Parts: sequence; C-alpha cells; structure tokens
Amino acid sequence: MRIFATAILILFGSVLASNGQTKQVTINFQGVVGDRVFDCRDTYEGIGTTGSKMTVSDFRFFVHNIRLIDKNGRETPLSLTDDGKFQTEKVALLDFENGLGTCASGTTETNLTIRGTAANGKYLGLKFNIGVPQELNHLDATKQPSPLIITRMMWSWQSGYKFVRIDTKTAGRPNGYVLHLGSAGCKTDEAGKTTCANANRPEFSFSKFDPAKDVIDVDLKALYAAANVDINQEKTAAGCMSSPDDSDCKPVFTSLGLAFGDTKLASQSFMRVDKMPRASAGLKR
Amino acid sequence: MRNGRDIKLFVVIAFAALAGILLYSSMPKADAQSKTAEAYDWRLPKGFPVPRVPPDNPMTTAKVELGRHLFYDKRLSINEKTSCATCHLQERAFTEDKKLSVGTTGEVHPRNSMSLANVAYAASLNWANPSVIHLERQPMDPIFGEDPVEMGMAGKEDLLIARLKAEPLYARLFADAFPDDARRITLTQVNYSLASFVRSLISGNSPYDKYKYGKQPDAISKAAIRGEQLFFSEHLECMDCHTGFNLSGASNYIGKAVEKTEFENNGLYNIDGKGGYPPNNTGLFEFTNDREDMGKFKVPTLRNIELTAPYMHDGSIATLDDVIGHYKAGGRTIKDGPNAGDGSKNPFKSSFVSGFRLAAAEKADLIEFLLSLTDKEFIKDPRFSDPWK
Repeated sequence: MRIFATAILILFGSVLASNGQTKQVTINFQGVVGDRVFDCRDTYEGIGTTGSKMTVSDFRFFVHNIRLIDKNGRETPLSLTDDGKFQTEKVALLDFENGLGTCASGTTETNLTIRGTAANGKYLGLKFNIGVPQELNHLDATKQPSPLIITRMMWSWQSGYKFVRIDTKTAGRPNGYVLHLGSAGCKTDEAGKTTCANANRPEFSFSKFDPAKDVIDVDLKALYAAANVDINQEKTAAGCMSSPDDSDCKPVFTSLGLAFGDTKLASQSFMRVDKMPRASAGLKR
Repeated sequence: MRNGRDIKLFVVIAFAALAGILLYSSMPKADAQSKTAEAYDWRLPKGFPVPRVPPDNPMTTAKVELGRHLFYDKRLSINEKTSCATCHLQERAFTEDKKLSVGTTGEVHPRNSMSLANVAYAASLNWANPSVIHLERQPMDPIFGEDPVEMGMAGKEDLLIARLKAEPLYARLFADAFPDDARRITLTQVNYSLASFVRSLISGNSPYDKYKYGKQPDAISKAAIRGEQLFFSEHLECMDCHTGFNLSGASNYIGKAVEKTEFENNGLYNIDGKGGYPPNNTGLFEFTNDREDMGKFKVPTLRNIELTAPYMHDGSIATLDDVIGHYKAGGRTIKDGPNAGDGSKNPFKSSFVSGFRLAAAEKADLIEFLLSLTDKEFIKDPRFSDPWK
C-alpha cells in the first residue's frame, strides 16, 4: 500500500510540477530479479546458465548524460537537480540496496529516481549513460560532493569510480561473484590527466518512455542470463572487474550492450520499460 | 631646507605610525600562525633538492604533526587492529619484513610493502598504478580499498570521522592544521595531513651521504667505495634505473622539469614464454591493458635497502646477495611450478637488465656499497616516530 501511495505521489509530481519554460521530470527505476522486485533479504534462484542460487549484497550504479527524446529523435538534456545526496548536476547514483540483510555494508536509504528539469515539450523516449563522466572520474574523491564521496563506489586500483557495483554470492561462488564496471586501460600523463582505452559507459536508449506512467526495470536475472555464475576464470577477479582479460566479463558486458574482445556491440538486456505503478505491475515480492 | 626637514620628519613619523599599525594588526595573526600555518622546516640533508608540493596542500608543521598521529592510529582500520605503520615500520625504513603485506581482515596483498623514505620526490607512488602521481591521491587507497582489503573502511567513512571526533587530542590537532576551514573533521583533511606527514619522511644521512656530500672521505669503507664505482659503471648499469641522489626511478623536485612516471620490467618472470607475469601481479599492464606494459613495476629507491628485505614488488627475492645474482643473470629462471619460465628472455624486459660478469669479491664490494646507504638517523628520528607511545 505504501509503495502504491509513493508511486502515485511521484506520478503526480512528475506531471504537475512545471512552469512556463521548463518542467520537472522524475524518472523512476526499480531493481528486479526476473519477475520479482529486488530485495537484499531475498535469495534468488534460476540465475545464469546453470540456474544458480544468488544473494546480493550491493546493487548501485551511476548514470549521467540523461536526455529526453521527441518524435523527431531530437535529444533534450535533463538538468539534474542537485540534492546533496544522490545527485549532483552532472551525475546521479541509483541505489537499490537498503542496508538490510546481506547488504549490511550498504546504506539504509535507497534512491530509485532521477530528478531534474527539461525544456517544455512533448517527449516520447529516453536515453542515458551508465557511469561517471570522464571529467569527474579521476579527481580527488575526498573533495567531491555526494554521491561521488561514497567510498564503496570508489575504485582505488583504477583511481576512478566503480560505475556499477553489483556484489553477489552464488551457489558455486559462495565467497563472492561481483560486477564492478568502470573505465579500464587507463593512462595518466605528466600533467596528471587520465585517459582510458575502455571508457565502459554504456548508453541505454528507450524509444517509448513516459515518465508519468513508466518505470525502468533494472533486472539482475537478465544481466546474468548468459553467464555461468558458478565458476570463475582461474586467477582473475571473482566475477568481473572490467579486465579485458577476464572472460567472466563477456556475458555481462554483452547484457550491458558493451563490446568485449571480439564480440561486437550488442543491444542491452539489463533494463526495460515497465508500467507504473509498481505495485500493480504484476511483480511479486 | 626647513620645509624639507619637516617633510622628512613627517615621512619618518608616518612610516613609524604605519609600521606600528601593521605590526599591531599582524601580531595576533603572527602569533596564531606560529602554531598553525608555520611553513614546515624540511631540514633537508646536504645535496638534497626541495620537493615539489601541490599548491592546495602546502607543508605546515601542524599538518605534518596531525598526519603523524593519523599514520600511527589504528582507528583508521575497520577492526582497529591496523594503522599505516603496521606495514610501514620506521625501524625498517617504513617497510616491513613480510614477503607480502596482510590487510587488517587477513587478506594477503599481492605486493610487498614499499619504503616511504623520500617519496616526496617520487614521480609516482604505487608499485604499478600510473595515475597515483601525487601523495594526495595515495592515503585513501589503503584506508578504503577493497581489492585487496587493507584497512577495510569502505562504506565506513562516517564511522571513521566519528572515531576521530571522539579523540579529544584531534580537536586541537585538526584546528591547528586547518585553522581557516570551519568544517571539522573531513576526509580531505585526513588525506592532506597524511600526505604531508609521509612527504616529510626524508632520508639522506647515511654514511654514503656523509662521504659523498658531507666531505667525510672515511665515512664509508674502501670496499664500499669500490662497490660505488661498480654500481655507477656502464658494465653493471645499476644507475641507469636507480638514478640521481635518491637512487630511484623518476624523481621530481623544484628546479627541474617534471619527469614522467617510470615503470620497468626486470625479468622476474616469463610464464608463457611471451613475457607473462603471474595473473594477480601483472604490473602496469593491469591498468593500461597494453601488452608491452606486462611486468612493469616502479623502480624503488635503494636508500636503506639493507632494512627493506625481502625485495621486489612481490617480495620474491630474500637477500641482497640474491638480488645481485638476479641482475647478474639478466633475469630469473624458475624451473617448475605455475610460474616456471626464463625471465631473462622476457620480451618486455628493460634493456639495462642484460646481465654482467661479477667476481665474488666484486659482489661483496657492491653489497658493502648498498649497506652504506642505511640511514640510522632516519629510523630513529623522533619526528617520524609513534606519537601515541
């Protein structure tokens, strides 16, 4: 019931809050595992090619470069509202974990929306990229505003951020099977400027998306659909930490619509448009 | 004439008054500065250049003192068992005797703890991360890093700040170190003061320094002098990588063009015959994914090398004798096991690691020279010691 009420509130918020030049837009997300709403306290079955069991201890990712699409395919940027917590003007953190159950290292608060303003107009679709923009990715993290100050999203060894952090345990990999997506193949010049061969900021594009009626489902079951989550390539990170040498990255990169090695750019399967409100979308808890 | 004298008198009085005003107005400030913003006195050894310092984190006595307290504070680790000094011990020139370091939760690090002596000059800080080129980018890695877990504070930044706020001593130390910043206590302040303390760890009072820069010809033995000649010979080529006053890879300091980061492959492994290194320790390749960067690691300083055993990025060589043997052979051959291979044939190996002839007596001389690089004042200097004891 509470979820339903929240959904109605968001629905009205996104429609009513507008003025002459710009309007406020809220884009809703929800974490799902197949046909179930994601919850840190649950165990999920039928994951990957082996139909493995999985628990999840972290589920967050950054998005940026959010654009609304009109009927001519023209892109209008959504200016993010700086909330001092999950969004700056340039980047937002979607946070599906609630600090409960296996997510004890996480945060109590979740963030399932992107909020901003866009020029008035009729929009049919939505595009955005996963990740932290290049110009923000290699700065002194201690000096950045939230969410860029959240240490669990910092990627020390590559000196940038984990764009996606999904930490799991599976039947075959009880000590952990993770996805840490971030820019890789990075070089730093004498002036301290870092450039990366593999940016790893996949774009997500939905030709039909109505912020007032639709929600983006982010599906862990779909993410791992082609992966064997019970095995790990020997002597590589447990799961995938974005190394081009780690074959465990191949199926998840494909789900994210990223090229990996010889495999070409695929169309992503990680997210899909679903109907609001969530409670009536036929999803089970 | 008279008018001229009046004007002169007026000028003198005006100057005196102005000086008085300036003196008066600056007095409280100067007094405050004597404790806080006082520029740090490096006490640089003879022949040492002045390190470069980023303009947004100038060295002050107060920041270095705060950084020293943080460096030795186990509350910076999740279970309060590990401080920076756990793996960087002063008596070992800020290294430890373990082959590989162990994190506070028991996770074994793939790397050997590197000396912090003279990192103020280092063009890059980590064994192989090319993006960590300023000390201000380093301290957060061991505190918050998760792969591997070192101090294990990821996601616990609020807890860290709360712990520091609960220590009464820190209220004064942070206020002294950051008098112009109304916010207390921030991660940036923790980061900056740790960087400042580590930057203050200058070592340059070894017998070799006394011989070389202190005009004390008897400070080192005749054998060490012969060893010095071998070290700097084109035959052995040690100095081609271990360069300059710090006997290390690329160094930066005031008055010199900024040097690039430098990483070299010294032929420790050649697992697949194509230059391969153990998968958890591929060096610069891990960051750049450029095959040519396989097995490339930072060239560390040889200062205090007597104290920093075991050697190499993975601590895989136990003694100085074996290190020289390694370079004499131009690489290491591992006969069996998962790392088997002829390192001397590693295609990415530095051209300076080509092997050399060295008689037993010469080897002994070379070791004598390396032992003359031990700075006993550095490892006992109270400025660098544990302030909580």
